[in-house]
This record gives sequence, structure tokens and C-alpha cells, in this order.
Amino acid sequence: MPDKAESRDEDLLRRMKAGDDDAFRSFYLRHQHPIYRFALHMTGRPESAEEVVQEAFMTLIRESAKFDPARGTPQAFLFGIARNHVRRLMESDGRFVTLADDELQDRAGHASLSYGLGESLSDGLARAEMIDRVRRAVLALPAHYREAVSLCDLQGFDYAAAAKALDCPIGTVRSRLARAREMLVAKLRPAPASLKRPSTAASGAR
Amino acid sequence: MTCAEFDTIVHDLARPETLGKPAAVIAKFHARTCERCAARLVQAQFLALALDATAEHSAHLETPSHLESALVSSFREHHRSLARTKHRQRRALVRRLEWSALAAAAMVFLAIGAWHFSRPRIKISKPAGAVAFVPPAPPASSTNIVDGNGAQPLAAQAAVVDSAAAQSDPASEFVPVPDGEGFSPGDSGVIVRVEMRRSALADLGYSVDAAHAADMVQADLLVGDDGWPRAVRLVQ
Repeated sequence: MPDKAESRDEDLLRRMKAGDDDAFRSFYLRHQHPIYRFALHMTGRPESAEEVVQEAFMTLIRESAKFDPARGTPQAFLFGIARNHVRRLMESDGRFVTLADDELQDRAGHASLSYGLGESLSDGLARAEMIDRVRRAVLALPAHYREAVSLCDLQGFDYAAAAKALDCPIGTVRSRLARAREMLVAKLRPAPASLKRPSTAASGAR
Repeated sequence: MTCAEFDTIVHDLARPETLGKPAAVIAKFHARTCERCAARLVQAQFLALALDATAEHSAHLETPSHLESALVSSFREHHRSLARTKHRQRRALVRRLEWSALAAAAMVFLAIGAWHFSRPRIKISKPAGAVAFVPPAPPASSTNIVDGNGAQPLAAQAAVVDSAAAQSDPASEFVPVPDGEGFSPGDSGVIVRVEMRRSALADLGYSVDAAHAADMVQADLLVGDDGWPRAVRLVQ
């Protein structure tokens, strides 16, 4: 049974089909943010993310008649379009080259991230560097793992919402996310020289 | 709890909201007793915090405002062009219907005209002479139709021979059908040559000799516009 947000979306889509531009504007404002951030995390480039948002909504304008409420939510419909555009972008010009693990290791030496989270995160520079490393690590993930991380870990979707957006079962989201997180841990692990024992966390765990 | 079981929930353990409290307590207890799993938990917590920081950093990111106005313009333009297309299609349909109706009317008109001009017709008039008209005569003498030999009455069972030949070799003048409506100069009609038994003439009101009723005879029927015979003449 559709929830309130989905009913609202369906109503907006119905009005859009009739040419109501206020409905289009409302729909855009409701969904541009998650789509943009999804595309940004997937491509790593703001201009590409803009392109994806534009193409996704242009496709929606042209093909909103294809939306079938029985097959999914309007948000899932939009995410489906966005994912296709991201994939096309990645395939067409290969501009989103995944970063090699070596490069991440090199950067780990400079960032000297430790497991003592309090100190590192309080430092603005270190924080910025860490965010940069996380983004690169996320970009280095295979696309289907990256999608799960983008939605669940970087946008706060719960498993059910992510499953709807990605048009797959919740179990698939769970397993992809678990695998993706393991890969991220491996990619973000500091180089052995810079690794400090996690004294605070370890003591807390014992 | 085993280390393998711990591995399956370690990332959920690092995010307190995704794991139930009892499972979290058991897992944390395991981490206190297992150095490997404690390290795994720290790694997972680090990752969770790093991802949260990244998410927080990108939370304010929005698409540029020009994109919204460009998309709204595209939306309007798309629907305007859709409306134009629908209008054009409607007009094309109306035009097609108009042309079809005109074509159908023209076809009907042509068919009627062709039928009207192609049917054989004569103008009956006394001076024209091609078809001699015998005005209604005294019934006793004129209805007694005889053939060229002047002997035998006519008979029935007619067969159309040739309407074009109906004006040749007349053996007698047209004699009005006694039971018919008669005709006058200026009436239009068609001459049909038929072969029939003499007895058929009796059906039209002529007197026929019963002895020769079964004989076949050729006759021209002058048929009026309503399809009824008006006069008969025998052919030699």
C-alpha cells in the first residue's frame, strides 16, 4: 500500500501528465536533492551529477506516461532513470575511472588517519582529507556496491527505501552494503607505518 | 557469539540505530573478549563516522537554481508542443474526413449520372416515327393482336431478346395494353424485345386464340418508367 509520500508523488505525476508545471516544480523540489547527491556519489563530479539530474528529469518529462504505479514508486522510477544515465555516462566516456588501491594507500600515508577518531575528526584539515579519501574509496567501489553505499550510508535511506529505489530485494541491499563496507574498510585502512593502535576504542570495547 | 557471527553484524553494531539492543549487548560482550573482533568493531566505527562525516558534508549540496528554471521551461515547452501536435492531428483528421465525405459524394453523383445516361431510353412522340404509336383504339378490334400472318393469337413465357433490336422488323403497330394505364405522346419508356407464348398476351388483357396459346412469338414491349408494359407490337 503506498505511503503518504508515494501518494503525493503519484498525484503530482498525474497532474504533470496534464501539463501542470506547478506539479512538476513540486516533484522536482522533492526529488532533485537525493538524485543529485546519488549522482554525485556515483560519478564524483558535480557537473556530471547536474547532467544526470537534468537528463533524469528530462526523461521524466518525455516519458512520464510510462510510469506504472503497480511496478514501483515514482521515486524508484526516477532513480531507475538516474541510474541508467549514470551507467551510460560511465560507459560512454569512461571518465569515472576508479582509483587504484595503491593511490589510496599513498594518500593514507599523508592523511595519517588513526583509529583515535576524536583527535582526527576534530581537526578540520584531517576531516577534509578524510572526507576526500572516503569519496575516492566510494568511487572505487563497483557500481552496484556504490549505489547501496550512496543511498544507505551517504543519504540515510533505510534498507526498504533503498531496495525500492534500486528496484531489488532488501536482502540484496543488505548483502551489497555489507560487502561494500568491508571493501571500504580495506580501502581506508591506514598504511602500516601510520597505523596507531585504537587505544580509546579498544579500551571501550574491553 | 562466534567471530564469524560477529563479522556479519559488525557494521550494524557500529550504527546503534540499525541493530536491536539485545544483539548489540551480546556483540559488544564478544568484542570485549576477542581482540580481533574488537579491532573489527573499531574499524567499523571508524568507517561509520567517516561515512557520516562525508554524508554531512554533502548534505547541503543542491542542484544549481538555473537547472530548475531550465527544466520547468522544458516541461512547459514539451507540453505546448504536445498540445500543438494533438491540435494538428485533430485538424488532419477533420480534413481527412471532409475529403472522404466529398469523395463519397462525388462517387455517388458519378454513379447516379452514369446510370442515368447509360440506360436505353426513347422519347415517344407521334411525328418521330421510329416507334409508331397507335392511340387507344376501340377495344374490340385493337386488342385482338395477331402476328404477321394474321392468324394465330399470342402466348406467354417471355424471354428478353434484345432491347436495341426492338425497333426493327415490326409486324404491327404498338397496341396499348387493354388493362394498362395507357400512354400519350411525350411519355418516356423503353422498348424490350421478348419471346413469349401467345397466352402471355391474354394476361395483359388481349384476346388470344386458345388453340395457339402455346406458340412462341417475338414481340416488342413498350415499358413505361414504372416498369409496367404500356403497349405491345408483334415482330415478324
